Amino acid sequence: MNILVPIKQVPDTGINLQIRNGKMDDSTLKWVLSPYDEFALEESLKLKSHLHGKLFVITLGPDRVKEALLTALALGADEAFHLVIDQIPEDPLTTAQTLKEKISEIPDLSLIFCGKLSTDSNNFAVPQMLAGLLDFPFVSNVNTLQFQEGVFTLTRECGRGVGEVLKAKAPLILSADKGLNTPRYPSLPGIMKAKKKPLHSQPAAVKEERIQLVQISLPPKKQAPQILKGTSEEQVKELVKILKDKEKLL
Amino acid sequence: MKILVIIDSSKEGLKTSDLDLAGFFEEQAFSVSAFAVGEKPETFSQENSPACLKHFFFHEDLKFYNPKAYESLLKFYLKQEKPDCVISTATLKTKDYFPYLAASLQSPFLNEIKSLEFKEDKLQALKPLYAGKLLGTFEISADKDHPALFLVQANQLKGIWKKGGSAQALDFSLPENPIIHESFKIPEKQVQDLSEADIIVSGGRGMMNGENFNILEELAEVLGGVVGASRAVTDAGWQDYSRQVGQTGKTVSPKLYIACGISGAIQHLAGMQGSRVIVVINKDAEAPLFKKCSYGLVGDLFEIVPKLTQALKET
Repeated sequence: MNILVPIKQVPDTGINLQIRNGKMDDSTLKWVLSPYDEFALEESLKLKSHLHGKLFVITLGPDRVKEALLTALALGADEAFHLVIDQIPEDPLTTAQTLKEKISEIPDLSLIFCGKLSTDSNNFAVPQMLAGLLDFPFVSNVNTLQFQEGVFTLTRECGRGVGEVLKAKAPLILSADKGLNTPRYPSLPGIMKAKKKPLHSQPAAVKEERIQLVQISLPPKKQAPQILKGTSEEQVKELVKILKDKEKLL
Repeated sequence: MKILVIIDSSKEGLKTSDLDLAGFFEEQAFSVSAFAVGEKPETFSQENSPACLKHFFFHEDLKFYNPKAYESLLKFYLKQEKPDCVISTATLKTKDYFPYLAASLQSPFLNEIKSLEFKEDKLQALKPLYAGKLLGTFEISADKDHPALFLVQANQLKGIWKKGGSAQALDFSLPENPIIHESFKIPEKQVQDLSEADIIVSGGRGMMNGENFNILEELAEVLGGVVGASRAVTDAGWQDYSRQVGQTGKTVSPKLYIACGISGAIQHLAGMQGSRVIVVINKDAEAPLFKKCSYGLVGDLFEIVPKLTQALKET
């Protein structure tokens, strides 16, 4: 039983983004593996030995995204697929369809483990779309997982702090939430080994997209901050007055 | 332009934010119809439901979430109704099954949009990117066989809906769920989900420990809000991850966000800058979050927060 983790390279979440010539300025960006993908990868690495299979990773994008695949290989993935396209699609369905073409070729795939969302577009869509396209059952927002005698027992967050405990069998698509595990860091021997592991690059044919990004802008500036003056009593009194009379929130 | 609003239904009733959405598009003079789906509300009457509510489907089995059920039901319904555009509020549930439905219909889908415009044949949606650090304007091409699916951030588009429905029940048999429900893990105290909350009182490293969050709970209770947290707090185990606001937590857009003892890492800012009014309480006057606030209170939060709770009780 093989496992696949689709991953995405995203700008480091700690960076302030700027716009240049109507586009996001990516000249100074640091690219990292999307944080939720790290949880999916970690859990898959743990599962790999139970499933007696291989762990594949896949991504699509320009040359730079190979770096993310190398990170995954250094962490312990066995084989990587790079679908080469110049521009990451804006339409999550295009991404899912492009991935699906390649995924269908991977033999004996029993589990596809994704991060629940990528921190760039925040669409929270590709895992469920893959499930729709491949006709696999799926569970999103998984924050605990056990595998025993061919059955996955897992908990998904369903809001308000409530967890739903579910049982499912392969083939299955899961998406990882925070709290599932603590991802490991790549080791030096891991990094050395990664360079020798198979990383297949192939051009990807992307269908026409139904969604186009036509403009990108900075969020509108808010009113200048107003720092309240005086003792804590005076500040509190002033704040209550503002919230009530000016902002009409009370 | 024919718009269909999907209204989530539970024992407590039809979801308010979905009703508000229907009202919003009606006010914009669109041809709006609504479809209510979920568990049967304890009190439901056609007369008290919105005039635009055309059909409803209530079923006991929907007590347990089953994406396959929503996908096949809505696929069936959309074929019958042929809207150009299907809209609902972004919740954990809709965020889960809308993309699944989109793949099944080969339809365009965008999540967590802020606004929607209709220009001749084109749909334009405004959507935060990178958890709100940038805003993207997207153009979407849809047609009757591939309606555009949109989820709108909570609290963004609101309008007043008219009563007086004459909705019909829809007949449909649900498919089985390939995933087996075992049980629910219910926390001692159930709170509203952060991404749907109107008011959030959030604590950061400055809270010192988990117990001290009591004072934030009290403030939240007086305001009718919920408690959130920064990443430092959830990583330290003072609060559950489901309470985390930020780029690797929840993106929130409440009317009022009160940040207590949060210095304001850019990842936190990304998750809450869509809030309408931001109040920052911090003893460090240099905390970066003061630059992004609407109102700032410089001082000891352990002194200010209880006083604020008291003052609000007296209001």
